[in-house]
Amino acid sequence: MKEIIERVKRISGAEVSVRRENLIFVDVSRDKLISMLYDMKLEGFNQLSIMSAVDRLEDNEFEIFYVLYNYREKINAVVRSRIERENAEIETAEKIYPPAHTYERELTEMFGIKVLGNSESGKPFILENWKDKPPMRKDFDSVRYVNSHYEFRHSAEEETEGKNE
Amino acid sequence: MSKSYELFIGPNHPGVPGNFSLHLELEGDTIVSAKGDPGYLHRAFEKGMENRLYIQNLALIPRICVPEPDINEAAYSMAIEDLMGVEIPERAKYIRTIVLELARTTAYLQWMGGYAASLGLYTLSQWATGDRDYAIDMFSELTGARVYHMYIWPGGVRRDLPAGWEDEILGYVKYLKDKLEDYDNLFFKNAMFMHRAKGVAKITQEQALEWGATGPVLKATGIAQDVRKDAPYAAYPYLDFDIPVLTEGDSWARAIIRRMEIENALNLIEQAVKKMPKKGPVWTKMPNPFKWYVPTGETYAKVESSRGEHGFYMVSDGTNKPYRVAVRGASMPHMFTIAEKLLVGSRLADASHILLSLDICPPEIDR
Repeated sequence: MKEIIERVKRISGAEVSVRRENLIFVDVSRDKLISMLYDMKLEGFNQLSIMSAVDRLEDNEFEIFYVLYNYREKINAVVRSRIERENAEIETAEKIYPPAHTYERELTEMFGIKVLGNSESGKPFILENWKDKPPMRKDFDSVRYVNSHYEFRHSAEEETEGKNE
Repeated sequence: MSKSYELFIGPNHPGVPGNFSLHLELEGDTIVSAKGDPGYLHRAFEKGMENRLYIQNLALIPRICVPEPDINEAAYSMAIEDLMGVEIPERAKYIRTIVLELARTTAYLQWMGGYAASLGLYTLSQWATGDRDYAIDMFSELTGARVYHMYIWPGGVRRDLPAGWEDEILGYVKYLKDKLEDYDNLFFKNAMFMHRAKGVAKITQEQALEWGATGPVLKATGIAQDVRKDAPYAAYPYLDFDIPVLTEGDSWARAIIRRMEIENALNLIEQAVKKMPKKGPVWTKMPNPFKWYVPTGETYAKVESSRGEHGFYMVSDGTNKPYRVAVRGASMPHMFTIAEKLLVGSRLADASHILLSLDICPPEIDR
C-alpha cells in the first residue's frame, strides 16, 4: 500500500477506507472538516476536482464531499462529512482551494446548504427567481414541478388529429 | 460621470463558446472586471440521472459536452464497472481508446476553428469544420450516430467494428497527419497568430496549480499531468506516448499544446489499430440492461478530455437507478477561477480569444 495512505491515516480524526490503489475515502466529523482539508493540502493533495453534496434523506443528513487529487502520488482522496439536514451550513474551503468558491455557490443554490465565509453563497448562480425547494434535494419532485409549471405540449400530429375531430 | 460601463457578451454571441454569458465592466476598451453568468443551457443532467435507469442515462450523458461526448460515456461506464467489479475485454479497451482519441481529434478541430475565428482567421474554421466532418462520418458508420454516439457502455462497447473500418480510420489518420502541415503554415506558424497570442492571458505554474487547472492549461505551464498516464484506463497502458509540455503559460502555449495533442491522438489511434487483438469479444456479458442493479457504494472515475480532467462521482444505493451522480468538467475552474481573473486588464477584443484559449465548454458548468 502506498505510504501516502499511511500518512493520511495518521491525520487526527481521519477514518480512511481504501477503495482501490488510487482512490481513498476519508470520513471526518463536521467540526474537523476544514482542518482536514488543510492537512490534506499539506500532504500534497493540491487539486480540488469537485465538491458537492449527497442528500441522505433517510438519515436526515447531507453528506458533503470533496474530491481531491495528489499529483505526485497520483492518488484521489474523497473527503466526506455528514451534517444535519435542518439549517444546514458549512464553512467555506475557498481559502484552501480557490475553485471551491464556485462549487459552494452551486451547493447553496442546488441543496440549500449555506456556506459561511463565502461572500457569494446565496446569490443567484444558475437558477433565476427560484421559489421552490432547492432542486437537488431528494424530496424535490422534478416531475411534479414540471407538470405544475409547464403545459404539456402535444406533437404536431396529435394537434392535427385534435382539429379534425 | 463614471468612466466605466457594463457590457454583456452572450448568451448568444459568436465570440463565446456556447450558450454562456459574460458580464464585463470596461473603462475604454480595457476590462476592469469580468463575471461569468451560467444557466442558459441547464438541462438538469445530474437530477435527471437520479430518476432514470442506468441504461437510460446513456442517452442523457453524451449531451454534457457537444464537441466531445464520448468522455462522458467512458467515465460513466468506468464508474459503473468499478462498482460492479466488471473487467472489460482486451479488444474493447483498444476500441474505446480509438473512439476516445478520435473524439479528442474532433474536439480539437472544432476548437481550432473557433479559436482561429476569434482572431479573425476564418479560413481555418472552414478547413477544420470540413476535416471534423470526415471523422463524424466515421463515427456515423461505427455507431449509427454522428454526434452523440452512445457507443461506449458498461462492460465494453456496443458492437464490434464494421468490416473495413480499421483501414478507413488509418486512411483518415494519414490524411490528417499530412494536412497538419497546412494547418501549421496557415495558422500555428503565422506571425499574426503569434503576435496576438504570445504573452496574452499568461499564468504561472503556481497559479495554475492553485486555481485547479488541468489539461492543456496546466501542460502549458510546464506540468506533465495527464489522466491517461497517471491513472491509465482503456488501452493507454499498452501504448507509447509522451505528454506535450511548454513553459510559457500563455494563450500561444495553450494553442500549441492542443496542436501537439492532435498529433498525439493520431499516433495513438494508429498504434491502437495495429496492436489491437484481431478477434475476441467487445463486451463482457452483463445482465439484461433493464435489470442492472449496481451494488451499494461510491466511486470516482475520471478520464482525460480535450480540456482536462473529466470525472464522474457516483453513489449507488443498490437499486437500478443511481442515487447521485456529480459530473466534474474542466470548464468549471477554468471559467470561474481562471478566466474571470485573466480577463481583468485585457482588451475587449481579446475577451473571446481568452475564453477560447481556455476552451470553456458551458454544458460542463450547466449540468
